[in-house]
Amino acid sequence: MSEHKTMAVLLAMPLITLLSSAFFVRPALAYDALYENPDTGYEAYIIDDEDLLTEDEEEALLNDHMIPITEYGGVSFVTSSSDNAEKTAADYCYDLFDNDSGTTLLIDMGDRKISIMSSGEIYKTINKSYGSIITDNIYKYATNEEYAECAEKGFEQIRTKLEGGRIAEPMRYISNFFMAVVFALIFNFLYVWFLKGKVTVDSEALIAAAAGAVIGTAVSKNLVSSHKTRHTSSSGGHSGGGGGGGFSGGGGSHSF
Amino acid sequence: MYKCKSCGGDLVLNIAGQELKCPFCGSTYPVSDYQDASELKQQDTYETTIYTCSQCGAEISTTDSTAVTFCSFCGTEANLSGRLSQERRPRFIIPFLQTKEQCKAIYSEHAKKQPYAPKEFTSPEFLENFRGIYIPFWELNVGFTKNPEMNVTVKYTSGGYDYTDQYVANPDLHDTKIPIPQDASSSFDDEISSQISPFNKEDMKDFNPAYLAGFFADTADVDAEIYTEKAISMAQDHVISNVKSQFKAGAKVSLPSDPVQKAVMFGSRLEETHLNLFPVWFLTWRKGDRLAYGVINGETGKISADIPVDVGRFLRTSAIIALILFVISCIASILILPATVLMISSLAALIVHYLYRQEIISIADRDSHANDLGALSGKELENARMGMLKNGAKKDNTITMITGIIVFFAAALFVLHGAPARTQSLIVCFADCVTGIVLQVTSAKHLIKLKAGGMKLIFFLPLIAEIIAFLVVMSAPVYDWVYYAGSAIALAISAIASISMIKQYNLLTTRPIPEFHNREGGNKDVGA
Repeated sequence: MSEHKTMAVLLAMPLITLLSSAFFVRPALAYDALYENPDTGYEAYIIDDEDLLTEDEEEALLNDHMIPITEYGGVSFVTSSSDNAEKTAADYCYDLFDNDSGTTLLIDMGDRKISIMSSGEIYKTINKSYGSIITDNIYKYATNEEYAECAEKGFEQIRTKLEGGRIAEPMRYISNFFMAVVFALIFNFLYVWFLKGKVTVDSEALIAAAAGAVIGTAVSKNLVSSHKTRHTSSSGGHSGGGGGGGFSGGGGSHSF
Repeated sequence: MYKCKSCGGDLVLNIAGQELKCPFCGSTYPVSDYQDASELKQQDTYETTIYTCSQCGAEISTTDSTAVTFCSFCGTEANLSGRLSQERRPRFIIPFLQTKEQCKAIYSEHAKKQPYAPKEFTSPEFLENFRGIYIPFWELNVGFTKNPEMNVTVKYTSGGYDYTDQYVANPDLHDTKIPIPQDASSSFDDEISSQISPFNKEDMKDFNPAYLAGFFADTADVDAEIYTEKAISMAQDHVISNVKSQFKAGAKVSLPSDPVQKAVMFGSRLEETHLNLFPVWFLTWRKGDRLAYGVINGETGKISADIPVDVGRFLRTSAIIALILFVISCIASILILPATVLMISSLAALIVHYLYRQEIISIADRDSHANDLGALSGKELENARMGMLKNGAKKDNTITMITGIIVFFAAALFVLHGAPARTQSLIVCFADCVTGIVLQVTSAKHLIKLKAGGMKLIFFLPLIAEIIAFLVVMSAPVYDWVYYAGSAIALAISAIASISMIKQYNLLTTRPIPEFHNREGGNKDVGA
């Protein structure tokens, strides 16, 4: 490829990407923040489309549990009715915080799932594992239709973690304990099993020792035919591609 | 029997000096000073005293007049009954070259390397029980009446071209005689024999019973004839290997797959067989009705040792490993979702299932002497002989299979990457269940041979764990505790099976008390 063509391709690629993104990027949803932290500028949202919380509950949730989180990033509580809780939570998180520091707790009544998605600085703490741990800890409230308590406990644990505290992970310890026991027994047994491997003499060494020397026999060789073909080496093809932009955070979810 | 010319005491072979020495006055004499009376009389037998163990029927001979107070083969401590006998005269003997002190050091070092060996295995009192025994070995000499023509294909790449050359190779086998040594005693397991071999021709001396002074000798009670097929197969393989070595690496030799056709092609035949005596140091440990042997080649010092596992020490170490794994898993903030925990539990059960199966096969083979031609008889012997000719020795494929299981499931998870944890878990648990059923079905013939009834029941446990894991994930419960409870049950069952597995492992590192009351064979015609 000539230098001019290469340059043209390099210039065209960002342009095509920009134009195509105009077609495929979803228009951002417009929601009004209920609170903006004057120091950090981070905002808090409650989008209760399913009307799971009363106004008093929303106010308590915002003041007691969500506003403290705005010290670290944006925070949103969403209720929805979709068929994919993780995707919906990721979409909201992206739309509201645009990959900046933020976290979204979503209760999806369609998918019957709770999902926590985070991005930016908060994602470093509330990662996929901790998102799952927290949803593990709170799903039972949603199952009992205690949605306000579910959200409160969820944000409480997010805040605890962001403040450097520890959250209860009982199931994780139980499963880790059982797995540690079984794998310790298996590893130890495999160690013993392979240690017992005893080396047996190969028949060539046995014969050489019994004969006092290696027994060789004179072998006459007659070449009957010989074929020659050009050597062909196979090599894999090369392919490459690019990805698009979008939500770069993550989180966890749980059915209820 | 060999008396000191100075004081009349019983002489013993002094290993360091390879001479006869009087333990009372210290006089030494060359072995050749004590002529072999049987050789002088041109006899094919020599006189010895045979001691028979009343418990297991094992026989051991000695030229000394001292009483034999314990049986090396079953560990019974009692005066063994003795009788004078004429034994087949060996052609060659390798005298002991390793002293008892050297042999104790070799064994002690070996036992120390085994992490869970019972402490008594390194105690001086226990090691003092080593006994020097000459073991009879047949030397089967295989000759050939033909110079077989073999088609050899050689493929290689050179100068940018692939070459395929076809040769006709013609080894000159006239006057070629290949010696194959095989142990001639039913008391001596072929597996042990293979582990401590080889014995070297350069240390062989013409047989003189004076070399037995101070030691014991096992009697030859296995017919050389039973090793015929094995010896012919080994000799043919040696020739084929020799032919291959004449060509570039990777050369392929085309040969008939039928062992009989192959033997006809070579004109293979057993030309001559004679008996030799080789030295071994023998140690027996007995607990209940199980035995562990420590055997050391008295010429080279090569060792074969049954080292049982101290279950208490094993479990204590496992607990420490489990604690370390638990702490690591808690510190490293790795979250495994409940459905994935269930999948891992099922996989752990499958690994335990496979290991248990391998253990059962090994124990069944060990207790039925499946790989010991000298201890078999009747139809079992016939089958084993043909099996040796067709397939050679069995190989342990445990590493390959465990690797296979892990690679298979890693590949499955890679393919399922991105799928919900429950879907991954469902597919893997289903595959585990199917594999578990296959393991169970293919183990049936080995289970029948197994004497330990408890193992048969416990062998079902991992399968139950696999089924529980599959049923739980299939029911798609909402609550996490159902997944965790399913995992806990499956893992607890796997843990029980694992503990049983290590307990039964000692059946593999020990042997049942032997039964030699019906021995006959290589020596049966002697003196008739």
